[in-house]
Amino acid sequence: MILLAAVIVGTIVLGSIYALMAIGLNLIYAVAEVVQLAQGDMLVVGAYVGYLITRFVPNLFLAEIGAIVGCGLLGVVVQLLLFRPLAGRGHLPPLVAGLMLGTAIEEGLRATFFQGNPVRYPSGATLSTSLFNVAGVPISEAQVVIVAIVAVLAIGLNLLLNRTKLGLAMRAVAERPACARMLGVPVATVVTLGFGLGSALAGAAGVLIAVVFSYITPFIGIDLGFVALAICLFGGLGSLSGAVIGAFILAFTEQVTTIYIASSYKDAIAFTLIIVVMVFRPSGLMGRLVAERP
Amino acid sequence: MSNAGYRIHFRPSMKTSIYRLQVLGYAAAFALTAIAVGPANARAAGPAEPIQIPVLSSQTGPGASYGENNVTAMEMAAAEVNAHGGVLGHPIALEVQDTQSSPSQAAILVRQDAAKYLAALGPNLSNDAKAAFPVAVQLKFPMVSSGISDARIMVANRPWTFSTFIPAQVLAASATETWVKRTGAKTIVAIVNNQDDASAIQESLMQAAVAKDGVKVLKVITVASRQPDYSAEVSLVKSLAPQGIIVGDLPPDAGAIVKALTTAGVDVPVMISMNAFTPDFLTVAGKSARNVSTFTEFWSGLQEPAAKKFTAAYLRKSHGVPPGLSAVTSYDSVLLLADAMRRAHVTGLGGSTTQEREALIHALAATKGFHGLLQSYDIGSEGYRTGAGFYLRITNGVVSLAK
Repeated sequence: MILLAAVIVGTIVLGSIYALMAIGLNLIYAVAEVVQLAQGDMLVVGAYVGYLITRFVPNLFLAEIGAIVGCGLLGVVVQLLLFRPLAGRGHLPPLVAGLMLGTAIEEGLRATFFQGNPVRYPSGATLSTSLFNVAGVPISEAQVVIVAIVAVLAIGLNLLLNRTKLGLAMRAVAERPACARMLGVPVATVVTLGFGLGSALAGAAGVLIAVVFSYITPFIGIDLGFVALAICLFGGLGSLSGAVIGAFILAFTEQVTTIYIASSYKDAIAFTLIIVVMVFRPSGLMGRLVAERP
Repeated sequence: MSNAGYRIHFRPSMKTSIYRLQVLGYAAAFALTAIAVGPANARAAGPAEPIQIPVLSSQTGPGASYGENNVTAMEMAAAEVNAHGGVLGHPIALEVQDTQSSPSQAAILVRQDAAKYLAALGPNLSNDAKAAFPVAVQLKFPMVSSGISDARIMVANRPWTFSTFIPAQVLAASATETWVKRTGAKTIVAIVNNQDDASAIQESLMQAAVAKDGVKVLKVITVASRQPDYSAEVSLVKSLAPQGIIVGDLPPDAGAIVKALTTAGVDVPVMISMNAFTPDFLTVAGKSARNVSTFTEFWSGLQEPAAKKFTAAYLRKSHGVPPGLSAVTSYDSVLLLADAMRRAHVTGLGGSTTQEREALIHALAATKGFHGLLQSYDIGSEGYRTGAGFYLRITNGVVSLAK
């Protein structure tokens, strides 16, 4: 029973964070049609912004807000200076630019923060107090707060996309950018804002990862960025609901494999599952079978 | 527009001509000064021409924190060597080369260095050494590393490579047997990072040691580097209810595992591998490290005068980052190479020869009673340092030497 409860709790907590990472990446792809390979590093920037804030005020919520604002602004700047000039030059240059940006961020953070030595949030911000037990599995304050923060952000994003003019414009640009332009939507501005929003979500995920992870280094985003990309491909590139479903399936597969088979098979089984789905549904679980966006 | 127009446009004015004359005058004066001073400087520098020693170190990439800390210690050691007359009257100068934490890059650097230098220091990571050492053997190029935790790497690369690190094969078994006796654990769970060679090897040695004492290994749980969450593994450990846990992982990840175990209420003795115990482990685990044991060759809290002096000097250079074990072994690697060069009467200046390199490795292999930073030791026939380590206990984040 304890193991089953551990699987469920682990899936909810880890799946929530994975979902946040993947939604950000998918949002960027949907509006800008760019696979942002530095998304994992944006997450790390968010984690470090949170670290700086918690050094002065050990408050997780302030760290979240700071990371969202900081990474959102960084995303806007990166889109304007790096990805906008590369728009329309094919898929490869933005991919390479993302990779290079990721390396620059990693090395920049390493040079800035204690030679890349691990740092951790002060204990006041990590909320490690155990609140209650679920079938023998202790649930910490942090786990509850993480799920709550992700839920609030997901609901907020849903409202933004479905109940506001900006959201309508983003959806229009994601669906038919040419038509949106003809209808007077400032496509370039919407793409920039979408990029900023996707980066802000990565920043939010970064702070949560720092809490779960116990420590941060400039390099924790390498694997996580890859996981986010895999989830997006699995759920369907550009599909926000696909990102959420994909995130929870991946988290569930990882937890079940770790507990009932062996941790060493965790990645092998999870990623084989993704490959199998992609073979039968190349556009992912919730992706549309559209080769090129008009 | 005609060509004449261009000529008129670019004809130098009187003012420009004067300026040119001034520039020519300064250049001539500079050239004369250089001619006069140059040979004098060359003559003065002749007897004290520095011996360049390349240092293969992970300055960037995931191993960067190790690399930068090691270089800090190596620079301190080089200053020490030079303050005592250098090597045969020549100061030594370290040339740090970045392996980028990449074995292939480490191998490329060895190939380049073998064409230019007498010997090299490094690499500081076992994974890099696995690729770099065979190249050194092939090119007959002496290398002295400071971070090889697996004796098999040294054995496979005789006679051209050496290490100032006591391998896990020597320390892990005895320390784990001590831990079993102290804790009385009869059942254990092993948590190991198979992606890191050093961790995996130490973990397997520790498992072998406990098995020898009749301890039952209930399960071996493998984890990955930089894993975001250990809740599943911790729940698994909890369900097995072991009397002890041994962890073989990189320092921050081992710290995160210990923290996750404590947070989940798993309160049994934990033994961590030697490579897991660095200041990073303590940074991450903090007070969650309630009942942890480990073994090492150095700890910055040691009260020996030499250790205290080194730690104080290191902290001034590292902006407060305390030295780990590899800082001490890096320091020793510089002293050892300089000492061997003196004994072999080689400098490599003017192009190193095969005879010089052979003389150097013979001197390294014949090292007996070498005065390292903390202890005197030999270099064994398999190229690595011999000696004993310390058994440490960490209680509520505080490290103490076990009696």
